[in-house]
Amino acid sequence: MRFSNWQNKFTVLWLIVLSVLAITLGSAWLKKEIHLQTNIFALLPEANQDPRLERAQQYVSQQLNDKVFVVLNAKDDAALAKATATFKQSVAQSDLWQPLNAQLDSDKFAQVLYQHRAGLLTVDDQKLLQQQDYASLTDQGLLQIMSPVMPVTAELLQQDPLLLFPRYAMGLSSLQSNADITLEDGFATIRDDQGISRLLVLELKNSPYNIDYQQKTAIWIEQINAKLKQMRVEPHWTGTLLFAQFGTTSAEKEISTIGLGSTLGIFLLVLFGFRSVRPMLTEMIAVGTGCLVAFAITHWVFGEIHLMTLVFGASLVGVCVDFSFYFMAMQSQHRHLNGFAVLKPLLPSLFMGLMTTLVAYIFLSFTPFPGFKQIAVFSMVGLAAAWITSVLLLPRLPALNAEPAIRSLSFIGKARSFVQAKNGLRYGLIAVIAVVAGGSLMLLQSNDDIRNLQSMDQKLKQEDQYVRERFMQQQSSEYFVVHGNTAQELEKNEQQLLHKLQLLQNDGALETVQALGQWLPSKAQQQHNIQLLQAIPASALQDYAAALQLNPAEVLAWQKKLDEQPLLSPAEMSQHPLAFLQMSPTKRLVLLQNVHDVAALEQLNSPQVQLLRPVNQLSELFQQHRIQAQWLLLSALITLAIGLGIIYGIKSVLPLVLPVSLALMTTFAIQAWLGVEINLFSIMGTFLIIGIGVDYAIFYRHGHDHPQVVGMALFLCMMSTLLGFGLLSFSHTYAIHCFGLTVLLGVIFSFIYATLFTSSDAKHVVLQQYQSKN
Amino acid sequence: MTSINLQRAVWLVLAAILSLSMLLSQPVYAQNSQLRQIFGQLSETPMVRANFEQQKKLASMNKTFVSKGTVLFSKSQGVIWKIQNPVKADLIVTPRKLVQKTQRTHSQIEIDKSPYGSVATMFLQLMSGNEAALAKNFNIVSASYTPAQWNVALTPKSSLFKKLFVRVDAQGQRYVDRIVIREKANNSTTIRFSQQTTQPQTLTAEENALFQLAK
Repeated sequence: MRFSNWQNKFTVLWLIVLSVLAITLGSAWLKKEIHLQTNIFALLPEANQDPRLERAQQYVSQQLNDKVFVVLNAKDDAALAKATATFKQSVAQSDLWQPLNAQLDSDKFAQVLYQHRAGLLTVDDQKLLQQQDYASLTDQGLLQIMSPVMPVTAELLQQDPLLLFPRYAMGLSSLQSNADITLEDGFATIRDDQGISRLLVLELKNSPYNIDYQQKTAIWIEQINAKLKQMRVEPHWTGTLLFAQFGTTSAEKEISTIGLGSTLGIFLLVLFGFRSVRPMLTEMIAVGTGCLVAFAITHWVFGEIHLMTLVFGASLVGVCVDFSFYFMAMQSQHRHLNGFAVLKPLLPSLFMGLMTTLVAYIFLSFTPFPGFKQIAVFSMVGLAAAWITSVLLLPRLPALNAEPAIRSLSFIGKARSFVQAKNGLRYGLIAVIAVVAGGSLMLLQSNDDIRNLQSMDQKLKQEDQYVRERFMQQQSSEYFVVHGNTAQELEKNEQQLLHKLQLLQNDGALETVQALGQWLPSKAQQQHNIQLLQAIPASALQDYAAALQLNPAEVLAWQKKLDEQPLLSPAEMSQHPLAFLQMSPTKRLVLLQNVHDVAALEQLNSPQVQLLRPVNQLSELFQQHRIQAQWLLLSALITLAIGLGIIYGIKSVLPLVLPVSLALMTTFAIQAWLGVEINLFSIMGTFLIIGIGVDYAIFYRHGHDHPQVVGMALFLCMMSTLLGFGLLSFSHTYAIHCFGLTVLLGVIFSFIYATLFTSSDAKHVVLQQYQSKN
Repeated sequence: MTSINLQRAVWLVLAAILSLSMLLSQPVYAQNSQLRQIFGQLSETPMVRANFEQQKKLASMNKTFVSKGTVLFSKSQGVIWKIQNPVKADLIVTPRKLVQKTQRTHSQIEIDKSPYGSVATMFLQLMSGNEAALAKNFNIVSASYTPAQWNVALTPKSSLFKKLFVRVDAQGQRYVDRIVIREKANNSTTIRFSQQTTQPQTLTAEENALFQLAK
């Protein structure tokens, strides 16, 4: 190898760089210094500016997402017992789950409440005491003692002669969902005509979005399901993990089917274009080196790299390296020339093609999505590196036979010449497209609801519904965060909120509320209640005792002992399912179910009480980012126009930028006609389009003397992008579908419009440079 | 301590009785032909008024609490218990609500918003003569029928009902005459009905107003 010429010097330098990077990465890999992020949530931006709320949100999603609910349906007790034992054993043996805890025994819990009953009163009883309506209190007691079925005992009448606690407990029971649930072996169990059902709650040891963890748990679930099936026990599963697992596997399945389809397609495409599979190999080498460099730089910049960055970034790099088709087509037409000689006149265009794409990606990196930033950096670095590899590698290889393909695709060049020759037709078409597409844009709808982004499996949904209907209430997505400077203040704020919520509940603004304060009255309230009871005059108690045929001395003794009794405190609630609502001693959550009137709830917001609606807030965030991305898109187009104007002159701006602008308009116009609602991911697709679309125009602009070759090469590029990304529009994952559809339409129209409308620059000649070398 | 059972108090219990009296007055197509005869006979009347006397025996205290009043059963509306002694109170039970009203207090439970809802919907199933629902919640231990007297004995099936009572016996002639509920802790409740009449056949304004409370 001669070192005298520039290409060989660069090649050696480049090989050294690549080797150093490969060795560095390899050793880092061996030292386990490579951080591969698989948590999908790491791609999302932080939702809240307020760190207090951010913490609350993380806390809640952790509490709600970190559980898997399993209902076991058995025909008989023996099967159920065996299934439960097997389940327990499997959980204990695997290190995937937290130990399986027994659930709260409501009978035991009622006993705890009973032991701390002194300050527990129903609202009605509080009112009667406040109004000193002791006669009504007597009536209530009498009505109760006379009720059939009520297991009143001498002991109860001695300890709670006014029968206050049974009334209080009945009020609480209306907070519980299903009275038919009993605790057997420590697990909630239902027996009815549907058979025997038992609820087991598994707690995750890892994030449900961790892909590795998803796979391990999926295998475990499959194994236990097989065992249960042998026992004729029917399991039903639900939980965030199950939905996340489904999302990952369906995405993987799609990536592999779409990936297979596109690889096969590109294989045939390359075979058609060059009568050889060599371009595929060279492209793999280019993309490989691009990814190597991109991986190293991205990991260095971000300290870690996300799996999605690798997947998306690698395909983005692959798509843009397609412009090597242009060189290979050119080379095939000038076989007698040295490869680098063929390359040299094309280099400015290829370089500008690279630059425009990089500019588009720079704008993509301005979005606040950490995921997109990473993808942008990865793609920019990878693309540049792959480009360098291609430029240094391809000219060394012998020319391929692109002649048949150029001939078959000559209609593209003919169509171009036809339209280019008739200015009236060209401007007319541009005007019609601009008016029709521009007008249709008015019809374009957007929808940023993140619930659309989840791909939902019907079976999973049914299972989820089944488990919830059998054992639980609907899970809420809206809640209040209540703060207080002290624990007392917190309790007070919560009680005030609960009182206001009760009023709203009566108005039908929402269905139910779950709060710790419903079960645990504030200390101040309990003390106040005891004072009310102590204030009952002895005469009233004596009347009461007479009416209920009780010993007056015992009733009076009960009143005296009231202040010796313990109050209910958060410690007694620690085993309660709602105990998690106490985030910290000064922070509690209040969960809401079936909210009908959000505005009414928002009015309850105050510095100490804040309504959080994570789903809506995230949707709003997606909306903000979409709008921001739209502005970024516009800025990117303007920046490109200015940059191209500076480089190629003001006259070149319109031919270079107009086709891609029209293509974007058409893309969204068609989506408007189809009734597709656009979202953030549609806009993200456009960044890919402007990068590629401007390149098409540049190559046509500078392909004055060889339009057939340019047409053929760009057709291959377009097809390759369609196969790589357009196929994503068949995805069942909504986000990927939106991205794919936008790229599909955008790339097709960029190609068509650049072919028909971009006038070539007659001053820019390539072939003459070849001839001068002859 | 039996505290958890205590919560299933007044309402439920009276609702249970309601269900029984309603059940017995509906044409339930039970497998037992004796039962069918009993239900057939009871279902002939759309509205029954009666006096009642209830004796609640508390075994551990060795005491009996007696209450008296009148009861109105309307097939289409529900039941009104007017307790006159020792406390004056009205208890109105409809498929939607349970309302308790004394001179100074008023409280109510919405059936679909409380766990008693499941109990209440079960009563509705029973009321509609749903044989499957009857079999779901009760075992019929025995049933006998002669024109002079009939008897039915039921034991609860569901875990909630099992917490409440052990066994229910009902007997009567043309109407229900007596219901005995054997409860936990050896307690029992006996309700005797007397002077049953189907007249008047329409609701009084006051009765109508009470049913409106529980609409």
